[in-house]
Amino acid sequence: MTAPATVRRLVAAGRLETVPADVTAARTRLARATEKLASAKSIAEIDVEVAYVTAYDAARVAVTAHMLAIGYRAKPIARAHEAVGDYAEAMIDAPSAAQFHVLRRRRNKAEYDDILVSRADFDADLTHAEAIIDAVRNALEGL
Amino acid sequence: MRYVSTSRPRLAPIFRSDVQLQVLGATYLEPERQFTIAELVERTGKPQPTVAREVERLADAGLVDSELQAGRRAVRAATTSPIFEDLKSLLTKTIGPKAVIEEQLSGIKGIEHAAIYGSWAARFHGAPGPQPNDIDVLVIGTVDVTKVRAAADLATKALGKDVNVSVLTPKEWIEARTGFIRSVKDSPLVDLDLST
Repeated sequence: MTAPATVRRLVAAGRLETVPADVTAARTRLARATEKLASAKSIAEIDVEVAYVTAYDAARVAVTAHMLAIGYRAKPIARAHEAVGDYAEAMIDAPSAAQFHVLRRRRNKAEYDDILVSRADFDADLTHAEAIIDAVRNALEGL
Repeated sequence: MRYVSTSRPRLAPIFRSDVQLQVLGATYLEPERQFTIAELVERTGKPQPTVAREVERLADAGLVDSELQAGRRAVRAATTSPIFEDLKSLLTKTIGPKAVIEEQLSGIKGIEHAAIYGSWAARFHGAPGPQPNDIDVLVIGTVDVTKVRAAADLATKALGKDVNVSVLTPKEWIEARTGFIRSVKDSPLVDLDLST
């Protein structure tokens, strides 16, 4: 499979690296993402900000599962999450993949700065996180 | 970030062109910053020769300072101009962040109240500190989050600065169950007028 230009650029820039493709490990990782998403939903009533960060994490882990399945991983350096988002936009077959960066920026603001995270914000972006995870699941089923 | 045209009925007829208004807006709303022509091209979405010509006209009129620095033109508001404060005030009231965000949010059904909070609001009220990199907006009401976010995206493009919007129900705002909501309620806000 020839990677799209975006992925080739990320590899050339040293932000992604190639690893042996491992579909079994990718499925295990996707299961982790699914568990995180369930945790996010269950905690939303208690702490919506923690729930938001967890839902974002679930989406991110799912995208890295997709990477692993076809032989990539994000280099653990600065802007690694951004590289995951760029990969998601290029490789995940769901309109919500384009929203990954929206989740990432809000999560960054919540983690490193201050931003109000409301139930409506969570509900809107939970939909995108779920769609990203579903799209990765569909992709892995085809491998 | 590319500028996306939005209507500016209050001010546009006064200036000779949209690009002139945008160059003045970029430089006068951040007078401590200098812009390259490339940055102004990105902000205005207009071709480089058009922007360069407009900068030259404004420099000839004494409204912007324009000089070559290491082979690149650096443009900034002419803060020593006798009309600097007046022009800045006019631009702030018409194409500044508050005006732009009000314009974008106006017309969205279900908004009961909207305000800017955080560091931009603090600076607006005179608190010292650097120019914030983004603008935090809270919208209270029962609204379509997608529409509010689309409006924030347009404001982001027009201002060249991230506009982060959070949508709270009136109940969330009144109950203020988190310490952060309580701190926002106690902090200086810039109320947005969406009546027009």
